[in-house]
Amino acid sequence: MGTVRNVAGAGVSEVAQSTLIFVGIYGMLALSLNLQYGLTGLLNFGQVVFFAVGGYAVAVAYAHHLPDWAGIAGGLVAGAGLGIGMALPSRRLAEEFWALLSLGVAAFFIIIVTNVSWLANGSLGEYGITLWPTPAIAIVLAGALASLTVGTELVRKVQFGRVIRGIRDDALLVQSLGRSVLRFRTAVLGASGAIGALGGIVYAHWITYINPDAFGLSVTLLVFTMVLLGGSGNSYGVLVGVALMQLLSVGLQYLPFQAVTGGDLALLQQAIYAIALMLLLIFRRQGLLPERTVTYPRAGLGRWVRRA
Amino acid sequence: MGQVSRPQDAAPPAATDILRTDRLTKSFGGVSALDQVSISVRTGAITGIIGPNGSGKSTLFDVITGIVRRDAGHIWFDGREMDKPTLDKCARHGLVRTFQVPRVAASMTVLEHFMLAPPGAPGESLGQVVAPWRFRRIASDERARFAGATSMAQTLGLQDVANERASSLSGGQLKLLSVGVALMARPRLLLLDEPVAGVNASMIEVVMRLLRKACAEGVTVLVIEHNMSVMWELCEKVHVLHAGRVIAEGSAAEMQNNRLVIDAYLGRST
Repeated sequence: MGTVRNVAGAGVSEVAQSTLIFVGIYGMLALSLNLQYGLTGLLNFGQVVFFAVGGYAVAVAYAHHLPDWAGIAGGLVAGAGLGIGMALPSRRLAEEFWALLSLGVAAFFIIIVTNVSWLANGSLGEYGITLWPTPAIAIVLAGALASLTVGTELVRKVQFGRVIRGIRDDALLVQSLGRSVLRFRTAVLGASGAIGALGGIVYAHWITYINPDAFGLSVTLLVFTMVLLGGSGNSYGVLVGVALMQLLSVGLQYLPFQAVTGGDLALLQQAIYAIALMLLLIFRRQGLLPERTVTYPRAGLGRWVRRA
Repeated sequence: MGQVSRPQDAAPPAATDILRTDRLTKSFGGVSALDQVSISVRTGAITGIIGPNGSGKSTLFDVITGIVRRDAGHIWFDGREMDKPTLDKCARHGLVRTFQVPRVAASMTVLEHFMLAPPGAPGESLGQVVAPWRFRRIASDERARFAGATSMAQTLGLQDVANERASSLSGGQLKLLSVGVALMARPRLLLLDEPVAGVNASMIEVVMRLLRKACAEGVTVLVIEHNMSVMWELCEKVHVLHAGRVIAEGSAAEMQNNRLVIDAYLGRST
């Protein structure tokens, strides 16, 4: 291949490979956010914290010479635990204030890992984490994405999905029908936390170093953009959003923008993301593939329903 | 602030009353919304609450279901005193309410609302939904919900909009939807806040028939409504609220001829 090279000098197949893997990793984060925001109405401005918890679980395990599986298990458990913990105050807080709380949780996590150096070497971060072979990463990501996408679409259509979509649209209605909003938010945040953490775990074993810079607010904003672009509430749409944003980011690396920006590609990327998000909110709020109304008897369990 | 009476001061509910309130008091700032309101609802009957706008009818429902916290007074439901009721706890114990402005999930269809309402299901735990070996149980639960929802949509004349989102329904249709949803939640006591406001005459007949049928099947109903012909026809007993107080209570016939009620609410021509 060889002749076409991006700004970092990588060949086409390397770029394609890394793009796909990042689609997978961001796909996990976006599907996790879709479950919270798209389906349950939880405005999680600290979505990156689940990603960070997964990445840091691996880094901490590595720093303390624990086996890989300890980092994986620790990440999943910590992600789910943090999600459950974040659900508890949602009972007392209005949605907007919970959103601020989630932002605070993410900021707090970064402060902790930056300043408590025995965890994972503080602001310098942990280098040399076990690199997983590319096929293994591809299989883990493809399997997780496929089952999550199909699973979310199924869950959306049955009673659990009806309750969480009801909470999103009008929590009081759902309460008036005897459901504890807290219980459902807890389940959703626990699951989303583990899913986001899995993204972080794979990321750590692919990039092989973890430091606090990788888990800033911009990750949350990018994931929100992906969800909104693709179609909040529609898992397939969310995947489309992830792929498009990733292609946009990669495409920019091939254009001769250095002359314009003096080489600061990241700055230009941010500007283009912002413009894309604004255009989206003006012209197509529901996203490229909007959430589909669940109609009967065509819905997910239609075949079983019709047999009745 | 009203005086807080201790439970032993309050009269215990009669065994035949599913709901009883004793001197419920609530004020918002300086406005007294409920002033020592005591009502009782006989098990198996349809009881009415009437009164002018702002007389405290909806606040009474809000206090009973825990949306608004009372300043003083007592509430008994089904023989037990409710200290700190919450909306979802009430519903789980069979006390289901509707709202004056219907609460609906805008993006969900009519059928989905009816399917959402019936309590307790295998499909409500995420752990069970994602477990493949539970799939048949969930499918059969979904099937039962679908069948119930379809028949409720037909009863309420909503079959043609069954697959429409709630956001596209008219005001009257939303009222019908919320009455249906509340009935699907299998209440023992149903609190209805203006169930037929904005509903056309032929559908009002249907709602009344539906409520009588539910009543015959053991559901007790407490209803707020401004449509007097509906109230006189439906209710065994009516409480009249005015400025946060119960100014009269009795049978429909008594209330229609009660001087206080006519002056405060009904007016001369009625």
